[in-house]
Amino acid sequence: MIQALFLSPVFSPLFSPLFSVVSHGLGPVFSWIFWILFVAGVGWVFWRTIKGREVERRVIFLMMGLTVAGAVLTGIVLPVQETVVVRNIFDTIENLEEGDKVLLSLDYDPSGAPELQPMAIAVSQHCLEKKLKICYMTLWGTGGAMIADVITAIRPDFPELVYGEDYCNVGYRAGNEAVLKVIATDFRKTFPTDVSGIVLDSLPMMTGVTACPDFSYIVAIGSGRPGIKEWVEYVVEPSGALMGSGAAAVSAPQLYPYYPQQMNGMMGGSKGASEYEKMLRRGYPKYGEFRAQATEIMGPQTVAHVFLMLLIIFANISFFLAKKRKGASA
Amino acid sequence: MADASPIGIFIAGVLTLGIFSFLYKDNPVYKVCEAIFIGVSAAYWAVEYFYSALYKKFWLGVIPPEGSGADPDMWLWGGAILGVLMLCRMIPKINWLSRWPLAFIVGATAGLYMMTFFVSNAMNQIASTMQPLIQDTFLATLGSFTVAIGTVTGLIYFFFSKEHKGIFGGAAKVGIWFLMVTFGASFGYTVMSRMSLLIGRLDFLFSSWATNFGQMF
Amino acid sequence: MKRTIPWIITIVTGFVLVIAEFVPPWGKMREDVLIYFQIISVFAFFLGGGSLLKINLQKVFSKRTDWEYALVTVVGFFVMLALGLFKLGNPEMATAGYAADLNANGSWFKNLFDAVKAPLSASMYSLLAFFIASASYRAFRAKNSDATVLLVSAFIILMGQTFVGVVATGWMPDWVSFFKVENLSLWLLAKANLAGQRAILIGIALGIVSMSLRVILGIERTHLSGGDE
Repeated sequence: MIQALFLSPVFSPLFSPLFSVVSHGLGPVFSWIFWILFVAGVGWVFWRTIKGREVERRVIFLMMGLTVAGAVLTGIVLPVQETVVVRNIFDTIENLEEGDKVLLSLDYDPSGAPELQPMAIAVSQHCLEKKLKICYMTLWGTGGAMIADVITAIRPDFPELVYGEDYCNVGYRAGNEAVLKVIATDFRKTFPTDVSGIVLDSLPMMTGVTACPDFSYIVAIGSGRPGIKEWVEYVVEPSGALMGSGAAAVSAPQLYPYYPQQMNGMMGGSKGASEYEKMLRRGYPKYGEFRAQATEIMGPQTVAHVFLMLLIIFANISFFLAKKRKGASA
Repeated sequence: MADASPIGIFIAGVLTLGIFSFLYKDNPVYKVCEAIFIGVSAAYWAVEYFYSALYKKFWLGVIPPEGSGADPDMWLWGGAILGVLMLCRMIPKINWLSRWPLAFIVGATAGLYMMTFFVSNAMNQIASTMQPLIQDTFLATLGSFTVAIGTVTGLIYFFFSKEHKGIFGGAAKVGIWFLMVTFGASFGYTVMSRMSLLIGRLDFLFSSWATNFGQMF
Repeated sequence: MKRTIPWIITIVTGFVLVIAEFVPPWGKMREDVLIYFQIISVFAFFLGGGSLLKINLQKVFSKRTDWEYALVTVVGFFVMLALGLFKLGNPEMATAGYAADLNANGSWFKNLFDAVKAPLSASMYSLLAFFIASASYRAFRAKNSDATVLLVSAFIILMGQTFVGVVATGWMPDWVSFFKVENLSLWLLAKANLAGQRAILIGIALGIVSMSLRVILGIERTHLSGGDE
């Protein structure tokens, strides 16, 4: 009956998306239990906060953990809104010619992987569908492992790929922005060999690549320094190379000054990655059968945001009530 | 975590729970995980640095592999010598020698930063701000005004050579509001980033680790 | 000599890199300087790593408080170092020798990375999700106009970046679509946030330019101070 009420014309626009998704994961029964517990927990925090009593730090931790865990187990998948900032990257890759070369720099470590690895995988899949040639590199020591994981993830879908002809991996070089400053004008000076010590000149796909602008497009995916900002400063600015980026959400707002003049698009955090996954699935329906990692994150992410916002609202209501009481007693 | 072995997945899950145990309180299990993290991370970077710069850049540069067709680059010895001087810091009698590579790094950084920051972060950002204010649509015009006013007032706020009073003070106040919007956006995105990480870890525990756990025991 | 030579090195190196921007033939020299930079930075890291090892070993041998954890750090360090330096179990060793990819699938170095470093690193940072929640609950108050602007901005972004925004303002008619949270959050990011970030960026850039000038002209010498005269 409650479900019928929520699905009525009045409430339907608000609640139908939730009911259409709760049947994933552990099933509808678990989903209902989760939502009931969620509302009960939030209600308890509200009551305690309004009464002016402290909610212990560890109780907040526990509730946050249970909220996210419940949302993950429920398997909520919510629709994603596309934005032009992400679309620009998709369209740029879509419009490249077969055989064009793309430089993919994965500048992050495992702590950025949940947000950034889905971007790297989706962009790689897109490039390979378009028969573009990918050169992987990284400015982070930990990036080598991330590249290895991306290649392992995409390789089974493209068994015909030949190393050195369709893709290559030049790996990591220490030196941060010094590496970028050099490869902007002379790629081989810093990367004379690939990650396995093979001389770059012997890789067919690297013929004609002397500096970064020789790549048709650069996609820098990063979560800190050195990362996207440094790519713009040391490569795009002096060489005029065309670049798009994928940033960890924590650094995405700081990169807006470079869009669209210095980089033509940006994927920000899981939201950006999920948008790209959506575009890829629409353009290449076969990816509908694969796991869309970032899209899966967005459901629990939404629930976590709601919980956090409710905490802030409750705390502020309590703050104003206390202020009012103080004013009345004064 | 591609192709991780069952034992590897099991250890990864245990270490994840060990780190999460800190949420209850600081405890020996967390401290052990932290100690492992420090040791393993330091060694990981040392190995990466050793092979990427010393072996592949320096060693294969001065002694190119047979068949590569490259000439030995003896200039690289200069960098290696300066690098070794850096280690003199550990020897008290000659630790002053470590100032040479340090001076090189500071000078190179200053030279590198000066032009780069001036061009891409000062000049080009100013140029990007100096756009026509009146645009085709009302929203675009509003956007142009917002960017121009926000940037100028934000810079006024950072200008401390004049006291923030009168019109100047009012402009600085508007600048603070713009900065607050910026910090609010950063906060929102930081929450998003950290939640993604937490979701990633819990997803690992509930999918890979739980499945692996079931198969192992 | 102990300070004059490094002072000259700083000035010359800085000038070479600045002049190379204007004199293309100096580009080669700039690249050499930057390759030196890459090599020296590795030794700087070794210095830091050596220092970490020294402190922990001293702690272990003098049996100071928590020496057991220092021992765990040292053991972790040497295990990872040995697996990486000798490339144990690396399937590429047979063909590429010591130039083999460190992260080749199946190498013990990569396995230890996947089983230990990756989960520890990700879990450490994910702890922040809990602390952000607790800190927001305790300290995020609309106490004055500045804090209110920050709070409203954060809320719009938090809602706009997820489906909450779509649900909350989905009922709005198209003629006020600008006020739909997802659109408002995009506008906030691309305009108001951009303005604030740009002001910060320009401020930092001007600061760095002036500081770099001081270094290159030899006025700033703090990096030459300290230690033995």
